[in-house]
Amino acid sequence: MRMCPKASDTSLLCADGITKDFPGVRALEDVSFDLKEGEIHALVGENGAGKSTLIKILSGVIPSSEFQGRILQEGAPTHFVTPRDAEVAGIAVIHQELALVPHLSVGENILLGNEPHRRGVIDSDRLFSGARDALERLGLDIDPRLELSRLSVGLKQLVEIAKALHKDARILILDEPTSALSEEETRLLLSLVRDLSSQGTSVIYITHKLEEVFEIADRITVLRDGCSVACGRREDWNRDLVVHHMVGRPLRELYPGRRREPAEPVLEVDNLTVRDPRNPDRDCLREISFHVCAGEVLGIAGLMGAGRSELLSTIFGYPPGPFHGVVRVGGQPVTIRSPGDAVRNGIAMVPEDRGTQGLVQIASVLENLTMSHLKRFCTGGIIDRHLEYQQSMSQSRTLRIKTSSILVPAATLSGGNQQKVVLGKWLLHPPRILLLDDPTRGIDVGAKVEIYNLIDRLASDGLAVVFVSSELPEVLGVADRILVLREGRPAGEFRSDETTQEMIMEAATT
Amino acid sequence: MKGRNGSPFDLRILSMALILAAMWMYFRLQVGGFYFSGDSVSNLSRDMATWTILAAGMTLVIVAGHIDLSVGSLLALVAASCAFMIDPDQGWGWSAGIAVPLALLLGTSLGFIQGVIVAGFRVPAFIVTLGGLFMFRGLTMKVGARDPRVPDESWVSALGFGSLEPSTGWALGAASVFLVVLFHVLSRRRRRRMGLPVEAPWVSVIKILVPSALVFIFVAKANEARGIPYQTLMMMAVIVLISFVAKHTLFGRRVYAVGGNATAARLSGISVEKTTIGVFTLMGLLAGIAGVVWMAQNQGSTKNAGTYYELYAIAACVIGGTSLMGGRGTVFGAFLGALVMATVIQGMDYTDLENWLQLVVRGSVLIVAVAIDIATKNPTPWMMRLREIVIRRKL
Repeated sequence: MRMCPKASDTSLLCADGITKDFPGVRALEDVSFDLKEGEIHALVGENGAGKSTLIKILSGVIPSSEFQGRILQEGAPTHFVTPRDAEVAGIAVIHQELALVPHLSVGENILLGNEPHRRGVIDSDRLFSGARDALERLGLDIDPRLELSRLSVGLKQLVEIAKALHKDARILILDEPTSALSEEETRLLLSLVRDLSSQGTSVIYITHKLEEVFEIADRITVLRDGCSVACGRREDWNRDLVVHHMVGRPLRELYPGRRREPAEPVLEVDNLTVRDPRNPDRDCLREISFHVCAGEVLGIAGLMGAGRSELLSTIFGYPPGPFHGVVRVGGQPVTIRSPGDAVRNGIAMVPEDRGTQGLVQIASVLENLTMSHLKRFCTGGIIDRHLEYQQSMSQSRTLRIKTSSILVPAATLSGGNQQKVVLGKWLLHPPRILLLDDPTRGIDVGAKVEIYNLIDRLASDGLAVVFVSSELPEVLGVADRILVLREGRPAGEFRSDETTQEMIMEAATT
Repeated sequence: MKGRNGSPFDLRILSMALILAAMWMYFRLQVGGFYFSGDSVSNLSRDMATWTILAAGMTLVIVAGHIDLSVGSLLALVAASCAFMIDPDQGWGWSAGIAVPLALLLGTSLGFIQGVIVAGFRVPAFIVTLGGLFMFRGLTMKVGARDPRVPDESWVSALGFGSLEPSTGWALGAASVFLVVLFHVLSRRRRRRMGLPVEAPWVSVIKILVPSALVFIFVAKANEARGIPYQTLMMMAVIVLISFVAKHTLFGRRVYAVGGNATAARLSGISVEKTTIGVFTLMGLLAGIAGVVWMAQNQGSTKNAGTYYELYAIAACVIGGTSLMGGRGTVFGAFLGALVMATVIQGMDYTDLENWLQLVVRGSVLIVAVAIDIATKNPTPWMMRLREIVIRRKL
């Protein structure tokens, strides 16, 4: 393994000495990276380490005049100005957010922008046979005439790859391709990627999941704080070494020690049933009962689609469909018809998707922080803007939100810091009950630890916390008790100090 | 207001001011001494009053992520109803003291109803207000069928033709300058006491001096004619008030949040429905005020009152930097946008451009102004390629 590697000029694709500054931040500093023919090269690092910036540079999203350093393709310098230039050069990026048109057919999506036509009239025979060829190269048996929206997320991901292959992409950049996929779909995708690379396609593979890295990568490069800290063949790496390079320090204690004394129940839910809005014969939650005490963290575990998010949003007055059941706060039955009612009853929620549900991206950090409790800064409907600024400033310092100013748009922050803003918005006036829906999804280890500590501190202060997570070790590490859901039904309750991941997994699946 | 790039001034406002200055200079050269005379300045401010009042409300509607196409027709309906209530010959002959509040109530309620349909039934505002555009115009034809008149004796007429005594004008100018100074001084003191960063003294001085100078020049010019027209005062009051509502009130902040991301706003406990209804109700009230002013200016009403005004209002907002996607925009920007539109309209009138050409130029100004704005914020691939070539040449 070489530390601070120097890229070799003759590789298929080579980034040499890339430095990129954003206002106030240096995103990349003298980063070098190279990709050989037919190789799978994994790029790992915490959020904010510079992976996305590097991808944007390699794929022409950031034009060549806006960074320092060189991009070489087979030794020849290239200057990408738009993503189209990179595409022509054979580089295709498969993003987390799919770039597909849902109401067109699979075939039309694959050939989007390259439709075979005669004087502007589309030749649909050639279109669908071309699409079928691209799908067959991937060994997929999908009817290209099917409407795209009827495929699962996993298959859509593969259609996107077929689209790239049809454009003769020689270099595929996969950006967290498996984050929304099931176990089975992930298997399929990984084996496809391996096949492609044996056929000569080169792949840059970005992921947070280290198991996948060790399964398919030929080489691994670790980025940290905008520098490439290490690069080497897979055989030279092991999991601990990768984590060590990612965080720059050995990880000892992820989870805070629990020394809490749960008191009286604050939130009680009785026989909550929620109807599935898309299918009236089905309940997406059925007869759920549980309670959470002051000073306690209740974990909620279950597979994707088990109804975890639906449970939280129903309690918060934002139900997916018609529901019945009793919710008691502090022993009193309450009627919660809107999130506003929930807030008035001392309930706060950090939603599943911070980008589309948690933040107003174009509004400033300050405006996001004070959004829920703005009334507290008002007299007669008029905001005291100085007080607002002062309190947001101190909140942002307490939560250690990293930003050049609290007046910049929330969209400019990194994932972990955005999540702190969403949390901070509720903590400006601490609620009695805090509902957290997968608060650590897609954020880096450092920020995760900060959020675990925050949850621990809040619970110790007497808050009742409901903590949903997709990662079992996290639920076990943070929660006192764990409620497991399976297909919308309660599938067991466990004390976290006397249970194991296997027991929870078994309850969630059988 | 603070600029994004760390500059203490808002660059966008600054560039708009430069464009305005350039246009004024151009028309001064073309038209000659009459341009910038007292009469020309006070006419400009009178002519833009009605639809600038609409533009103030429209800013909030667009920021909330909606649009209101009905305001021109609503203005006409309010003007016609109010005139009908006052007209002693053809109408009911009521005193203006009763008719005007009722007319404002009419505008407010129709705005409220449109808001309820948008918020409560999820019908897109574009459709609801397009329907309103036709319906209100139709009702105007019925109510204003015989062009009701407002007699000169009625006090509302003053709103169209009256103006402040020169001495009162000066006093008002001085008072507003005093308020601006007071605001800055208090704000600086408060920030210092709370330990917040305070802007450099010279920045404050410029921020006080420039608006004060403009206020005094305007008062001087208006006094050369007959003093500050009442409807200009009305417009200024609306701009200041709505600007305050947008920036400093709970309601205003919620409008920005709802327009920026309705789901996030809802999950923060904000009632998206109430905010939407509030925005359309306020728009209705402002259309009512504009309607009364229009009626006063024209001593009555006609079937064609306020035609295209909704489009002038939207154009003013968009030139002033309001994003049609919602969540972004300022009332003061819309005021500057309205000033640009008004300058173009008046300037072309003075240079005796033919009518058909005037419309073509108005349209082009709108498109060019917005294109420049978009080009600086979000350039298209060919623009980036062009810039790349330019940069490479220089190296």
